[in-house]
Amino acid sequence: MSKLIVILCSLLLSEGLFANVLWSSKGSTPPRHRNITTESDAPCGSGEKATPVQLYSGTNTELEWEEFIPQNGYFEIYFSPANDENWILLKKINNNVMGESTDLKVHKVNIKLPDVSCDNCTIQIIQTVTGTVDAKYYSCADISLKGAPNNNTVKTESCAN
Amino acid sequence: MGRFLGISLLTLTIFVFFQNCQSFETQQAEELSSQCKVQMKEKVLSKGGWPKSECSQPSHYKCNLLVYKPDIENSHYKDTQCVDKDNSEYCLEIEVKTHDTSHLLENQQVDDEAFIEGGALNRMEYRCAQMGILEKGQPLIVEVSDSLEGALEKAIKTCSRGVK
Repeated sequence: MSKLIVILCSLLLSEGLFANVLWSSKGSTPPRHRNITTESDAPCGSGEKATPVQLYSGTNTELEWEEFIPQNGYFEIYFSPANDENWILLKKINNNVMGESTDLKVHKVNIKLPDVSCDNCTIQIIQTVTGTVDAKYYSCADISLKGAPNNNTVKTESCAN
Repeated sequence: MGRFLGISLLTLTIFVFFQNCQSFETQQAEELSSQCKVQMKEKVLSKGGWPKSECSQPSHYKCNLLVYKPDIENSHYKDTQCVDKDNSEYCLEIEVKTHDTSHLLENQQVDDEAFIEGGALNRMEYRCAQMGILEKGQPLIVEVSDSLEGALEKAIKTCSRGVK
């Protein structure tokens, strides 16, 4: 009986890996959830928003994410000032994998956070695996940004063709 | 004089190469970002205007398969897979990439649940893209499912939103 309780508790408390790309729980932007999120349930998959982690506007911050099967392609890091909308591209990072798939890989990058204040903003990472049809995997982290004047706004990406 | 001309020609050549390099980079930067692709997809679908045949023909789609399983070898090959649609059989050539996930069985960071059928490390992902509705050469309609029929059906349904 006690063993069963231990197993159940460990399942409930476990932070196992359930997605292709995930913000690292040990990093500055823990993931909202750990489910697989693909094109069909983008941008952040199903699940409630998490309590936002407080970060500081305009500062250089190290972001950390995990990739469980390293594959060729690239990562894009986006910021949304509210409601998982109006995404702004912060950085694009190429992911060149040599040879066969290797063990889980932890990536780190320094990013200058936008110079705005927001209470319910999101940092998102998209992994694109290149192929005849590109595959995309998503992970979102809930954050709040403090320290910038309230009237500061961010310039959204222009997608005009 | 000759020396001056030589240096000028060399400078000009380097300049031309540099210019070409710059324009190549600009072309890369013009690729649609993932979020722009989502925006463009919604914009194009709401405008629509293509005939039903653009969506209903399986030959208008390109599909691939990513397999993540602990009991397979890493491989990359082409395969022909068939689906039944409207009482006809359609066969598509698909690119298949298989990934052996067994090396993660002992990883402390990976929970056993990831290896349950359908879990992150034990699943099949079919992706189908409609190849007639493109933006900057990239397909806007891409759908995912654990079966070829499912991915194709989803992509056809999304495409149909823009039928006139």
